[in-house]
Amino acid sequence: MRSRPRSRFYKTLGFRLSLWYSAIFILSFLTLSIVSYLFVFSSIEDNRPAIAAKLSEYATIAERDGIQAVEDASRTPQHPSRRSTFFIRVVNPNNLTLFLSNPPLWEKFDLTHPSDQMLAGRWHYYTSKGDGDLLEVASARLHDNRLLQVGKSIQDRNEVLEHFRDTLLATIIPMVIIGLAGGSFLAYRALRPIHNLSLVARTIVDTSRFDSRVPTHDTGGELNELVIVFNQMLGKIELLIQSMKEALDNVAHDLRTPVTRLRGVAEAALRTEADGNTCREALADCLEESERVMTMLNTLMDISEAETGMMKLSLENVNLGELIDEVADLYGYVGAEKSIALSTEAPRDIWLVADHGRLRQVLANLVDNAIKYTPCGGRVDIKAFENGQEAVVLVKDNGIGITPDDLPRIWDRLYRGDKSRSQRGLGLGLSLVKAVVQAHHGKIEAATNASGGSVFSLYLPLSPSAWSQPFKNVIFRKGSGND
Amino acid sequence: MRILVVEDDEKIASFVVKGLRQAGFTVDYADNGQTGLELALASPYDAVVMDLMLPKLDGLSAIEQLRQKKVPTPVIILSAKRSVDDRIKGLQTGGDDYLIKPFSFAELLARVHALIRRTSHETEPIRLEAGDLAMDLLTREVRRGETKLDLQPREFALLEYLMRNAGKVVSKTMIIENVWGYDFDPLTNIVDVLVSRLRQKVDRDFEKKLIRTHRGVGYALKTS
Repeated sequence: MRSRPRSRFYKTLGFRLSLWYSAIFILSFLTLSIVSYLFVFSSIEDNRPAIAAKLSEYATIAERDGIQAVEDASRTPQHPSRRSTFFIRVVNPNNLTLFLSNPPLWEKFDLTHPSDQMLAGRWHYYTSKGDGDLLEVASARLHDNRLLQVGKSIQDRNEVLEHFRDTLLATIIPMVIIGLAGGSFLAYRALRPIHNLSLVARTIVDTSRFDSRVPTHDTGGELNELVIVFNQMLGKIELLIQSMKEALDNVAHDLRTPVTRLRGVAEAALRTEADGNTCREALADCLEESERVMTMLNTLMDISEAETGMMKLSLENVNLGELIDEVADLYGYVGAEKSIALSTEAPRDIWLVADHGRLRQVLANLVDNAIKYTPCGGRVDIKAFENGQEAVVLVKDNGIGITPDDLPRIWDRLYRGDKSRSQRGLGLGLSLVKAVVQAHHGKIEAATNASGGSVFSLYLPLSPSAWSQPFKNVIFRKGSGND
Repeated sequence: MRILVVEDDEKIASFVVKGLRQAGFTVDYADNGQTGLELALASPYDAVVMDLMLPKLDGLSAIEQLRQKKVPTPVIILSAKRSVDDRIKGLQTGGDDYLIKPFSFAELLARVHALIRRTSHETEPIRLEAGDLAMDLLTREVRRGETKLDLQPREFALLEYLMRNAGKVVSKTMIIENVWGYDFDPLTNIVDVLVSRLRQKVDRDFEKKLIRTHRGVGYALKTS
């Protein structure tokens, strides 16, 4: 039922669109017709100059050569028609016709008129007895008081106008049909992308499947643009849902192991007739394990958020050198514990726009990792420099390095190289590092040093303008204090 | 010392109330925001422990109304929301501390103590003592019995923090917050390493070990 109003709305829009189109089309057609009709009308009406010219011509002939000359001059050789032939008449003062050219042509007109209407120099109309034709006549008084009349039937005009009118009337109906059809076609064409769009949207709403797409046409235009953006949006949503599903699966999977351990410890303690101390021991185990579950859950959430682009970054200006020294200070004792020399080489003039806390987390994890996989007496070097629009941080150690087999997998969740199984940690550190770096539109690579040991190279854009995509889920924070 | 606990989850409320009573506090308890607010307005407490997701009136609104009525009682927020934004929002609304669920009771207790101490305007001591440990905050001299201990700055800061909270368990998170000034867990063992360094100086050469590890919770300094 919910689709009803929408499709009605669509129809209404289409209907209105075609109606508007048709109305404008028909209106312009009518305007054009009327204008051209009036134009034709006025141009045909202008018989008068021709009549007047003829009148003065015949008047001259009559005055000079007599009526006979008029008769001769006006003789039309063959097939006279009212349209092309002038009406020429000479009337004496007693209203008797002395001469009439081509009499059969004019017999339908009532040519009589009262004597006081023998008006020279004025336009006069004789009406037809039958068909409403008019004979337009100009008269001139000759010097012997006779009247010379020259005229022309306006039948030709009427015929042309009638014909024109008929043509117009005949075309109006096809034009209205063409207008309506054109309007509907236009509306259909214009609204088809929207219709497709709403169909796809409806399919998605009904089926909850995000894999349908709106067909696009290479016609360009705004609606096609809309369709393309709509499809891109669907793709983005699909990807997001997909990765959220995966993230959820991963979280569920990754949490199973520590929760199983938790359960195992509690169960074992309950099964045996344990004394107080053993019980306390088991409870402490449970506490530790639940602590680990929590840390893991938080880290997994962070990774998922960063990977799906949902991580909120509080961007501020960060002094990279200060941050590196801070992290080195944090790990000073840890390094010292294993007699690992921790050295930094980071100028204090590298500033970048980043989430201070997250970036510290990234660096801390890299340093932590380096110290973990470097045997006692080794060294870890942190080096930072600017390279074009990027800040580069190298974390280098001379530890056990990364085997070629492990290299592509170190970024996977919960992956730990065989040699490091005994090492404490969740195996999530590098996944988090990578996800956070990518959320910053940066890049991280790992490699094995020629001299053994590994080197992690971190590339971060210096400023947001270097970020290839616009910000998402980003809060800009004023100032540059710690969070 | 009177504490009001506002928490709708019965189990959490019961272990918090029980624990606080064991620690010597007089505890009142409300299982919804409305009752909590009324109690807090009606009588003075030394601290309020407030959950955020509460029936009838949510925790943030309750804190907001409390502050509007100019009640200065310090409030510790308990929340399952762990984002920096939520934390900032909680503190801006008028909360004095923010503890993320799941939390260890020891940490809650330590934070309650710290909060009451902070708001009770005790005069800042110049000398700390715990057992046979003595710390002079002006000269930064530390002695155990007659032996002078030579501590590096972070070790000194950690010992100072443990001595200020002598007898109470402090969590790793709290140590990172107070010794390094960070509010995040860097997924590392830096606290363990620092504690073990401190142990070597404070405990190794002495029969009686003062720094105790509470597995899964944190560390504490024995007072006697």
